[in-house]
Amino acid sequence: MPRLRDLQTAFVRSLRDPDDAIALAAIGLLDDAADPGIPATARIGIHRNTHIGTLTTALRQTFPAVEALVGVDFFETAIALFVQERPPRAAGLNDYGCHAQADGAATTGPGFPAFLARLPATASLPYLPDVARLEAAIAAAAQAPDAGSLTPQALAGLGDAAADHALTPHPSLRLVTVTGPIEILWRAVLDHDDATLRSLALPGNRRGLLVYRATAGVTINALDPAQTDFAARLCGGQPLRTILDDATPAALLTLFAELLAAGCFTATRPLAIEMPS
Amino acid sequence: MSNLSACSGGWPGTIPASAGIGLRFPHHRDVIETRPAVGWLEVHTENYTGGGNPAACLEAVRADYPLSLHGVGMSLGSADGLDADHLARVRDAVRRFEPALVSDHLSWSLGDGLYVADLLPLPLTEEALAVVCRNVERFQDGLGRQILVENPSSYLRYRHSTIPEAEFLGAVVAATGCGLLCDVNNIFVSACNHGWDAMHYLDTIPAAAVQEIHLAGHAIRTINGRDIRIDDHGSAVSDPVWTLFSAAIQRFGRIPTLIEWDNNLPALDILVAEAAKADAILAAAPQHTSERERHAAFA
Repeated sequence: MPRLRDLQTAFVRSLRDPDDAIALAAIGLLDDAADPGIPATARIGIHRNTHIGTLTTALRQTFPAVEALVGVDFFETAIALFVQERPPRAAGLNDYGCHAQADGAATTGPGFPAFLARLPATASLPYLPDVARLEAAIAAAAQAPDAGSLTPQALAGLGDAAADHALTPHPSLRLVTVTGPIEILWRAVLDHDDATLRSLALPGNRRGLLVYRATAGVTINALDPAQTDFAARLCGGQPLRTILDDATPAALLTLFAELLAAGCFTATRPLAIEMPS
Repeated sequence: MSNLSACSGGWPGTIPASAGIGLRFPHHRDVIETRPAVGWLEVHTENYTGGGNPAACLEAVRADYPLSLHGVGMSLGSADGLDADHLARVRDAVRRFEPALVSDHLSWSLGDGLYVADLLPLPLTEEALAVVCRNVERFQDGLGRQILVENPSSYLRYRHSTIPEAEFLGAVVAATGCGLLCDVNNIFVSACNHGWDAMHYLDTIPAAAVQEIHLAGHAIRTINGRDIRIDDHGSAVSDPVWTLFSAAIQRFGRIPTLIEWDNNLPALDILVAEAAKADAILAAAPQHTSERERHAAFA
């Protein structure tokens, strides 16, 4: 009699690959005699359909614009390959495929956007991984833990000491660096706005998309390169003295005020001051 | 047996012995704005372990409706034990939303280090029984409260199973003090697929442990000229399942009863009408809950 762990290993492998030799052992465990007429392979196939169907639904809900851009057939083919390469390892599929692509890295990492970027067939759609990274950031922002907001008054209350503090970003905050007006493309695809799609100039220039969850829902704030670098430093744990000074351009100060008012930061934390040795 | 006596009671509210509906994302706004006349709501726990809009909606509705958290990811049958991170997420959700009931399935979803996103069948052996009891105890200890275990729907059986499923559930109850979630549609589906006697199944599970009933629709597929019933939660409750439901509550008394509908989700009023149908049947059932109350208090 097989141990339960061995049976479960074989069953999982049979779901992922019907031809797996170990998986065939699991099929041998099924009681065809008790339930005649439908072979064991077909019964496991019912579970295989649910397995792939549930994962497909999860990715479809997270990446609707990607699906619209590539079409249903290609999307489902890509998902089947992705599930083979990067199956989920824990329950909870709301962030499946979203990991490690919302950090500004272009095509590395295990998420679905990086996977799409490596597919030769997507080479003709250079904006596709950026759209996927934006959708991953949106999904991550939508379900990030709740947290309180740092108020402008609380920051002002620190006085001059604020210079030696860093800001803690809200758990929903993501900064995605993309090429071109990806957020406009994304919205137009979802809205079936063909006029906007025809008017878009792609690939375009580098820009940052600051994605965060405000009270009204997930917000996308498009930033120029200077704003992108500024936002990256605000979110990067550096002391405010190195980010804000008398020479900070007014446009960046305005952006800072907007982000603070929108609840993009939850707290300040004091940084140790290096003492001369 | 887990010693949960210090933890029982004190949870806000109880689920009334009436019909509730499974709340899914597309119905959030409708439920908040129209406050439909259903007795209670149940959600899939895994959809509410984060923050943001889903959690805010659940906070809004739980002020007016008793709540049940129904998990699909604890994998109570995994030989490798429970996922500590997932247990912590569920524990945090239970602390936040204070549900009157918490449940998961007699099945497994984690194996070979992967999560397969399906409720897979267990071989019904002494080894599997020990695994499930250990995992249920860890789940209950982690939450500090009793959980309900739901009977699965089944499309296949293993050669080396030795314990009938209804007896297996009874043994889990006896060993862990958990309660049961009796899915009447699952009993019907499995009984049809395997030639089981559904009435015997109802008579075999420990009636006093049953604290919730699930009703749902299922599909019929034909493979090699033979019908097999699939628990897809994609349609209205079928007539034979309504009949089996009536028989179930004759045995169990009036039990909180949930209408589950996950795929091809209809308008909210269709779900509410299904719940009203269940309520009409519940109203005709005997009210003999004292033994069940003792079981819940004992747990």
